[in-house]
Amino acid sequence: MRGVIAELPSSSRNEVTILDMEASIEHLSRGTVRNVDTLLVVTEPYYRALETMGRTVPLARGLGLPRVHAVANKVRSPRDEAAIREYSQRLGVAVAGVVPFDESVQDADRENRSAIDYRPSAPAVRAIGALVETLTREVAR
Amino acid sequence: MRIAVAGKGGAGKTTVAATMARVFAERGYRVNALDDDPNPNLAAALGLAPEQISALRRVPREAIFDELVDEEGRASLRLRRPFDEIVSEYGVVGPAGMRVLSMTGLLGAGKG
Repeated sequence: MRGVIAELPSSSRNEVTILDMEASIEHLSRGTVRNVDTLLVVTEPYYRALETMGRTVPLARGLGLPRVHAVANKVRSPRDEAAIREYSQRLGVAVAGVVPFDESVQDADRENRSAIDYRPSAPAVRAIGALVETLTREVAR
Repeated sequence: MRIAVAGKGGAGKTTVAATMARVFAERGYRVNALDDDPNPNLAAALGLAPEQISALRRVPREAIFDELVDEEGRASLRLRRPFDEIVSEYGVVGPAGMRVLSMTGLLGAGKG
């Protein structure tokens, strides 16, 4: 089953298609995700989330995805960040973004609002903005 | 640019995907936000109004794709209709003109 993603728009330089995937890509058949330019694996600094990333990354590599990056999320301390960086390094993936733990994300969710509308200057929102910056630069290169 | 966001459930992938979509849209990109999660909540995380969220209809894959099988037996899919048409039938247009669709199995899960 190939070519689904290839059929989705994104051809022009200023068009972006973002896919919020199922929890993991483990049950994907080979080749289906191939037309994605970048796969971001969001992880928390906890063993199970890291372990999920540890299974996802080799699989994504096997599918030949050009760019696979980690995104560290819910980071509460330098130790949290270090744990994710260390694990990512062992997997050979770059950490494209570090998003701090931010109560306003939960608060927004509780009010059924988007994090960016709830508090545009929230640390997590700004960090995701920086992630967009990083990805944009990478594609421009 | 096509960006897929994966990760363990609860790790925050929907928040990351939705906020990225909003940031790209604010920066003038044309954004398509596709929810491939069987339990979709991307629309809410994007900040769509409740009436928009309820207007969002799960895209039936068979309705928009033609399945082609090549001589080696490999299946591939072709969009049967222009993407914009699909969005106007099943999707909604969200903040800053972003196009939002809910569609499971988009990446081929469950089918060989």
